[in-house]
Amino acid sequence: MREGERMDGLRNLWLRLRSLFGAASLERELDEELRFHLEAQAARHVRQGMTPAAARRRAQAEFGGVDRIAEECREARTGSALHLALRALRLGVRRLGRDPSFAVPAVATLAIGFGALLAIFTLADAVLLRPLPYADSDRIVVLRHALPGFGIADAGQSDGTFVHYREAARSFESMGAYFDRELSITDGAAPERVLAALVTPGVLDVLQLRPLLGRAFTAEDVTPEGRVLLSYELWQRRFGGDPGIVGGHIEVNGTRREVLGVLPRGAAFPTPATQLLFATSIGADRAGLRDMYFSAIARLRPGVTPALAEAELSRLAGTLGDRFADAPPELLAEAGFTPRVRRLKDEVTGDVRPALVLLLCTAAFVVLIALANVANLALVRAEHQRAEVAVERALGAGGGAVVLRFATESALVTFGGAALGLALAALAVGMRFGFEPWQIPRLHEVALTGRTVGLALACAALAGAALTLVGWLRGARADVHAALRGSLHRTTAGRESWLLQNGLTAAQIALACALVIGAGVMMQSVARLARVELGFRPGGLVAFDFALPTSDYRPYGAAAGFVDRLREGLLALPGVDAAEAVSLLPLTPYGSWFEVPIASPGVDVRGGVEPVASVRLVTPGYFAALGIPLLGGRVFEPADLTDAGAGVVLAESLARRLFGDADPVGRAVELPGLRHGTLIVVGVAGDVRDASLASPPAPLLYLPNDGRARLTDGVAPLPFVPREGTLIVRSDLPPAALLPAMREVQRGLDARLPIANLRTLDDVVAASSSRARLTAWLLLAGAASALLLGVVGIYGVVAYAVSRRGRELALRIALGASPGRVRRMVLAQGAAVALAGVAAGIPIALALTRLLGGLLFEVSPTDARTFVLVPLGMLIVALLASSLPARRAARTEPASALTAE
Amino acid sequence: MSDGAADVLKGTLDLLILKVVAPQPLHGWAISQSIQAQSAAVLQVTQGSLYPALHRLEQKGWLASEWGASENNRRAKYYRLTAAGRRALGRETASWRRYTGAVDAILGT
Repeated sequence: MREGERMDGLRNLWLRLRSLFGAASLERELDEELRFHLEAQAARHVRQGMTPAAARRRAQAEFGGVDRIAEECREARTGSALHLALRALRLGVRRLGRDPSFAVPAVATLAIGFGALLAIFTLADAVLLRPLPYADSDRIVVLRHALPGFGIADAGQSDGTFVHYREAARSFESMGAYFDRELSITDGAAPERVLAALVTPGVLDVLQLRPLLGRAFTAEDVTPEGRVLLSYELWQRRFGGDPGIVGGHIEVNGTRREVLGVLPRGAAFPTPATQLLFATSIGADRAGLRDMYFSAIARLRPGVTPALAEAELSRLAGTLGDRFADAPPELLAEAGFTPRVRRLKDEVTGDVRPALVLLLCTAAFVVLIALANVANLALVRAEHQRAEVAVERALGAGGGAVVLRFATESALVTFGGAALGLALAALAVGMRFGFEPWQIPRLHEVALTGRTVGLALACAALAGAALTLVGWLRGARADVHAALRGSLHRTTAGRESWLLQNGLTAAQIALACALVIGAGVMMQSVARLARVELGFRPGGLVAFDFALPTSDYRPYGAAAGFVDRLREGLLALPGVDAAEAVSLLPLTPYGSWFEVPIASPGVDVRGGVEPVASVRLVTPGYFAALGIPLLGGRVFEPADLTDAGAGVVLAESLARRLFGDADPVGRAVELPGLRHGTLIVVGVAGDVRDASLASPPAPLLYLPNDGRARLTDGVAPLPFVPREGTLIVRSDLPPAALLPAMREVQRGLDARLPIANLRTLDDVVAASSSRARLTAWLLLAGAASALLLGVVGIYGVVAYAVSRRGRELALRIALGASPGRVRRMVLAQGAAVALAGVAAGIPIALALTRLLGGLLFEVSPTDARTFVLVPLGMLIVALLASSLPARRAARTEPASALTAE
Repeated sequence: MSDGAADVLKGTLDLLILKVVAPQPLHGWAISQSIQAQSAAVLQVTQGSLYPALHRLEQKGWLASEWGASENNRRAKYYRLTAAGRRALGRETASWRRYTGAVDAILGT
């Protein structure tokens, strides 16, 4: 091929590309070319003796229609299917651009609806639908127990049950047990508190988790100086991703541990925040039905369902008595001992599922409402376009061309809305929806994926098809005469379109009504939650966690002495009024806590079920610092704690459970199964909300954490040592201002200890209800947008009806109808639509609030007040929305009946 | 395009355009003048078919266009024959000769 020929080929390709994308320069060139021709022709006529003006007219006449020729030139360049599609799109954009009162609200409305749906879908997809980040994760199950006879709804495994199942169960390929623990990394410049887990080597087999570096645990790693695996996150953060750490050492709670390996990214177990795994083993000497503190997971053999596995474990549970003396069949029967097998994913996501399903429904409702609104807009637009389309058809446009016209406009609107909605969703996902990581499991895995984009495209396509149908039904089927006449005499315009419009609006009102009822019920629940009596005053209190290495603080006295010195140091700081310690702060989502059976000699507990106490070790001033009222007796004194025994304080609910109305002060209590001295009740404290705001007050047993007590070798007659816990400081200074001084005080006592988790108690309380609040707010946002769209819808149809019936209304007024009567007539139309909508909305709301069930606190899902007030409110709002066009209708000039188009 | 007469006409116009621009590049008006003059005013080219034909031929790659200055120094779009256009001109001329020869033979002159 010669050089010139290649150049021509390139030039031609460039021309095709330009014409394909309708480059504006091509249009200008065409225009200039045709104008040149006209001028050249005119110039010729001038040379032949014509006047310039006559020459121009003549040239113009010879030339014919410039626009038509230009169009034919454009067509000469085009003609392919792609060209036709692009041209249709260009025409669509131009037509929509001429009528922004349709395009702008339509795209915006869809963008909001799609954005909400896509954002929530992305969240639900990541949390509920996508498999966990482990191989074949659907086969991983959690093994738990229910012991209803002991009043225990949910328990894990004991050493005995786990070993028994592991040896005998055929349903599983592998099994592993673990429990959480909070520990401190004590080497390096900045000690820190981390979440760790003790796991049997089987846990890694169940998860099929291969370390990224190093190797997994084997049986030899289960030693007292046990080796550890690091999470990817800890490895990156603390060791800068240095591969040399494998085989190196890390000091945990004062003990050197060899680093065996690093786990892959995002694979942390049991929680996303777990940083360290230790190997542990489980030996079986007793069934220990009351100490089922382990969690266990297992991998199902292929083809085995959780239900089958559960049936097998139930059979095996019956043989526990053959192996362990402490699990006789009578006791198992009394406890109602039942193994439970659930998929790990359900366990992980279980408690957010209802909230997410609810939000997904809300978003879907909002999309439907938005679509109904846009359909209404499209209907009005199609009505206006009837004449235009009819003329096009009369001029020879085929049915296909007309459908294409409506399809391109609809597609432009819905795909535009979907694109904007996707951007909104990306924004929401980027901000993690305002959730904190611990509020929603797997939140760190949430990301916009191909599935989100796929849903956006599918939504846009479906919505586009629906809108095309609406436009085509209303705009395209008219015959020319009717359409042209219709545009002159609006009163004869389609009755079915009017019905369709009212139907769409009623549907909007129904969905909006359901959402507002749902949000109303949820908000009431949140309001009740906010009014819950905490039992303590969080104001002005700051807390941080401490954890003392067992090696250096083995006896009670060493730990309590440290806490005492720390308190004194903190109290000496300017601005600090109080400093007290507790082993676990109320309303803390996780942590090490102790629930133990409790009894009192000579007391036969009512109901025969042994009460359980939740143990807290507290400094004597704890009650005063938190404002927990003392209802009887007194708090601990140093003299109470001796080698022989200790004074204890009971929470009111526990005291009542044990002693009924009798005075508990001076009575003894026992913790069966634990070693301890004489425990004498010295006081009764008010109840506090402990596990969560929604759960009933915990049966708290307060044991002393008192460094001033005189004890031989520092050994206390208590089953627990206060090595871990939270320090609470009362100060009018902000936490950040206190931090350096507090750190200095603690470093002066033990340089290895971190100041972990600094927070105010107000934050702790707010955090404990934050998920419910967020759910309620998201629901409210959905309901508010639904309501707004519904109101706009009502206003739209009524206003449209008024404008269409302008001539008829003017006639009525001219014939003597009073303005009031006309206003009432218009209002009645709005009211009828709203009434139909509200009536349809109540059953939808009933279905929706059934979903709410488990999320509600002290509010019934069929709360009568909400179900009456919201529909009434909706009707009033609908009447208000109709009143504007109604007023306009009443002011119609009778004379306009004659002049109206 | 199945309509025989239109086909022939359109094909004829394309052939004439290619032939007229073969010696030197011309702008649209000059092409129409040139066809008129060379046919001794027998053939009139309407602008309504000329410009679409020019754009179609350009799209086919038989013509290429460039902007240049006209006789009275106005910007004008000049069309010239490309190599592909030259080959097409040869083909079209040959087939036109065959066609007219056949028609003449039947008319028996």
